[in-house]
Amino acid sequence: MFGKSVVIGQYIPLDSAMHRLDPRSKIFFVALGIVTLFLVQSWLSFALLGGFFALLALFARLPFQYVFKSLRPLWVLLVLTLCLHVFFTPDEVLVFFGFLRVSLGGLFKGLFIVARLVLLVVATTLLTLTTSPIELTDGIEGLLSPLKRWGFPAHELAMMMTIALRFIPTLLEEADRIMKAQMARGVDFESGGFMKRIRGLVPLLVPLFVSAFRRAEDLAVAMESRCYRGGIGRTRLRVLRFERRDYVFLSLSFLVFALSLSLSWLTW
Amino acid sequence: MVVDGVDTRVRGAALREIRQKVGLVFQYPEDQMFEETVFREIAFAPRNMGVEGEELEARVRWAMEAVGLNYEALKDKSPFELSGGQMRRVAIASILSMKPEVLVLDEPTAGLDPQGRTTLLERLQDLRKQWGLTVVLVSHNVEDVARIAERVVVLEGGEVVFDGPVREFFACEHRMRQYGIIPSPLLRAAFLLQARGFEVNPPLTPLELYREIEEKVLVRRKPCSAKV
Repeated sequence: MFGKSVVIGQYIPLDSAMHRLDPRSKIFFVALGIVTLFLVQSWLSFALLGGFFALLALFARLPFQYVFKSLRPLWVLLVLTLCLHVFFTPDEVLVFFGFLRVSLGGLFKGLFIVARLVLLVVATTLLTLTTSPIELTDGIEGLLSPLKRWGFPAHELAMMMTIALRFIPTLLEEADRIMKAQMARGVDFESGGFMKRIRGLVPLLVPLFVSAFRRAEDLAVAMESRCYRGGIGRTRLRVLRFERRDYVFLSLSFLVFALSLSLSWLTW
Repeated sequence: MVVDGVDTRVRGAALREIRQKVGLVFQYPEDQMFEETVFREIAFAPRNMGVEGEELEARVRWAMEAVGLNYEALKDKSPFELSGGQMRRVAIASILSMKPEVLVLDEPTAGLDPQGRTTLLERLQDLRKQWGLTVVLVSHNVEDVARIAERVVVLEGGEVVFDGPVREFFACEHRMRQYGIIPSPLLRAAFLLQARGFEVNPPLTPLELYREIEEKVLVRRKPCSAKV
């Protein structure tokens, strides 16, 4: 159930222009990209954005198959969306498949949505493949810190995310260990009806929670014994700084996004 | 792996039966406890095997007594209220209640205080002697091994590099060090005496060392003037 194949965070450590960008500018880029992708309505805009993302992937020196690998968990969703649109859009009928009708408009619409989803995933993948989880949380903290003035716990939130990320593999390992131990006591996790399986999870979840609470307590003590008392007055090893390349990258992104938006309004 | 002539790698092997036959106690087994009472915790495994009623109660009682826990006093307590050594023994009892033929324990004394460690090792010894269980103890601790083992198997990089009686294993300091095992102070004292020319047999317990010294080292001295 939980193999070593579970990879959390798909970060690929490379030394590239994309990797060296400030995480804040990459997060900003993704946020803007998502908004743009939802607003644009024409194939031309999609082509432009797709080309831009491909260019960035090239700059990031990422092998293309890595970018596409992140689409793999999505293919069911993609196929489903496509089918729903193809078969259930009331439009001029192209072919009949028994009771199913394939319509031209539906085909286009479906492909359109699929392209949008693919580009969304590619954009976020560009961020997660080139930014380590630590940089990512640093970036989020940086972006949220203006809100601190109104009492928003930006640092605490970022710390929580870092800790959560750090403990996912640990807890998976723990779950694996407990599962094996309970299997040695005759628990069958794999067979039986739904209710039986749910009840079968109790011997796994209770010890897992117990150990998670213990770990949390230990961690809190360890942090306090190293004088951690929240974000106030805390210095950092890596200070985030906007460089020239960030300005270049962001201006370029703005340009492309604006262009694709105007293209879509012009040709729609 | 072959258990009782059954190869576990074969698909469809009777894994359930093997799991019942070979009780596996993982490292820090108290981490796998989840029930509200000690009784329910220990009854969990046999219940999964379909044992019920009086037989179940008898098994829990037997398992608790086999590891030296008082059935009446502890059965309704929460396992999380117990001391570390007690928790460890409850965890071992929760495997024993399946009535396995072989009990495999991974570092069962890790993290226990000296007293808890001694009690546990004694109970394991009893399991073997009184109830005829085969006990496989996985340990890095030379003293634990010396205290209760009969046969020693040394693994190095996944390979068996030594397999023989415990005394044979402890007879050669060179071999122990070759496998990265540091002899206990007891053994070192014996090896030191050997180096000085005394033919002392490597001891397993302090008492044995004392007897050896009495017999082989002290005899050479003149007897005391006051006769015993």
